[in-house]
Amino acid sequence: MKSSAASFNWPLHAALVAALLFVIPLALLTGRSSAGPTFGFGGPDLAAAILFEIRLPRVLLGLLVGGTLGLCGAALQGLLRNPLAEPGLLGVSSGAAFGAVLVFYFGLAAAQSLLLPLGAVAGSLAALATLYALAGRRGDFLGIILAGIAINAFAAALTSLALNFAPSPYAALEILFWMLGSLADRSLAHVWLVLPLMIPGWAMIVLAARGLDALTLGEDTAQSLGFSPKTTQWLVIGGTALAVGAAVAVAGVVGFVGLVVPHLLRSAVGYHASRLLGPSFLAGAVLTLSADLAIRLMPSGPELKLGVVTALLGAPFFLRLVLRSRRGSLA
Amino acid sequence: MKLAIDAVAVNYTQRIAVRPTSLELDSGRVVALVGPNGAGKSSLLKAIAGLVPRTGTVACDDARLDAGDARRRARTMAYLPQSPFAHWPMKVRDLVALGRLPHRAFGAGPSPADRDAIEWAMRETKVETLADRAVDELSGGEHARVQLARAFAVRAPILLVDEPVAQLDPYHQLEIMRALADYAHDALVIAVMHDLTLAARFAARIVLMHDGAVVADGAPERVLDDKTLRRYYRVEPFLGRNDGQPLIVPWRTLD
Repeated sequence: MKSSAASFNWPLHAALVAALLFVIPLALLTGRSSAGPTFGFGGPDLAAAILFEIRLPRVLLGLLVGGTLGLCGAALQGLLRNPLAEPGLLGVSSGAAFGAVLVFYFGLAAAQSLLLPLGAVAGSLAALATLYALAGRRGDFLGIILAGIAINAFAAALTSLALNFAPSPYAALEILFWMLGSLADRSLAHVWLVLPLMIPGWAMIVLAARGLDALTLGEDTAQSLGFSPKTTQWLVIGGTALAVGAAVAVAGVVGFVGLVVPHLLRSAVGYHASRLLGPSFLAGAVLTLSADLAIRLMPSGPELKLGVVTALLGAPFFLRLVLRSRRGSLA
Repeated sequence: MKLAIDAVAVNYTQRIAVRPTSLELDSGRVVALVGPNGAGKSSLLKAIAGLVPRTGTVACDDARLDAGDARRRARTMAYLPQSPFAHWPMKVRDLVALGRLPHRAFGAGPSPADRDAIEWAMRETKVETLADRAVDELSGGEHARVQLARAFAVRAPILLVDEPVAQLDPYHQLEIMRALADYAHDALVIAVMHDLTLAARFAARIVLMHDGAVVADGAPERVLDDKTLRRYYRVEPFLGRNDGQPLIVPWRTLD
């Protein structure tokens, strides 16, 4: 007898890769400067400059940030065994944002560009460690959400405090806009900045994959199957802190991608925590690139921020999940 | 196959759960671990499985089972907790397949041995017809059988089960105990139990614990007699026989 959902879901992966291969060229060819890279606008030099220096970094960062958010959302949901876990809701992103704001605030961002992502990683790590200490062990739904609210509120308060004492209104505005979450006006330097943090982060999460499967049966059973819940926990927390910290450092807070994506895919992978990781990465990238593309296609006015768009779409989705969970069917 | 438990003790911060305990247990039978609430049965079971910090050693055929080799221990001992659950509504077959995790290398798909073990475990527990159902749609009795299939799928020579029949109706209690007894034909099953009649019926050996220590150990009739039940359970029992096997019904409390 063939084991149905237990086998690798090829159609799903193929569809996600196809979607990615569709949206990447589209994003490279679309922008405010012109309808395409050239199409008679400016010379070939200008077209090449727009393509490689403006659009390519934006697309690459969309891919890396979106993929990271999808992957880390799936990993956190597996670790906490809770479909509402998400870097943004749990305060990981705001912790990272506060870490980055501190770097901004002390004017270190310009001096040492690597300090910004490191500050963000430290912030996200602190937020996750606090969360786990407050509510992680039992994995109960209310405890985690409440801890996330508390961490979010505290990180936001500290960030506001930093803004309050900002040296100039321009500095405050810069911080504020960066926190809204955006992929605009980034360069390839940003890509090289985040990759050394994201790649080990992803690797740690992939190493935890089988432990996440075992955790489906609870901590004791996972341990009896040879997977230490502690090891799994620190791989996921460390990996998420690295990858999400780096993502927040370059793109600000882009919320809800990590909530929506794993949730939509979970049943398609037969509720395997490990098999959710790859598709969540791909779909997170597709969703983020599509949202960013939509922003660029919107006519005129100041450009909408990516984080604003994902929050506008994601918050109602979250509300629906909460309402369903209150009726007792969380999955 | 022989399981040797030597001076195993469990100390929680506020109290001693298991005093130094040594037991030798042989394959081919169900051993029931009985005793009143708080006697240390579950703690001893978890200590054997390596799920709680313990002192002392546990060895299978002279090979020590330590935390250092988690994978070998996971293949040697399967553990089914009290009221097991699944956090995600997987299909029954996928849940049972989780029992094969200790046998699978990183990134590898299921091997023919894995598939055989999964199908065998589902057959033994009579859950083949449920294979494609979601686990959150099962009745209590069905769910208990599926979780048992998950533990069977490890195909470990030692199976540790904590109150496998709590919260089940009489039919499912008998069914689960029958499946455990069958598993024990070529394995050692250690079951924490509260139902003494079922324990006496299906276990070849009863280990009675009280206040963190083993106070009686042997064949059911010898351990579960009137005097022992009065002393350690503080109940006046009704003792009878059916089909030549003991019936033990706690009748009223003693104070």
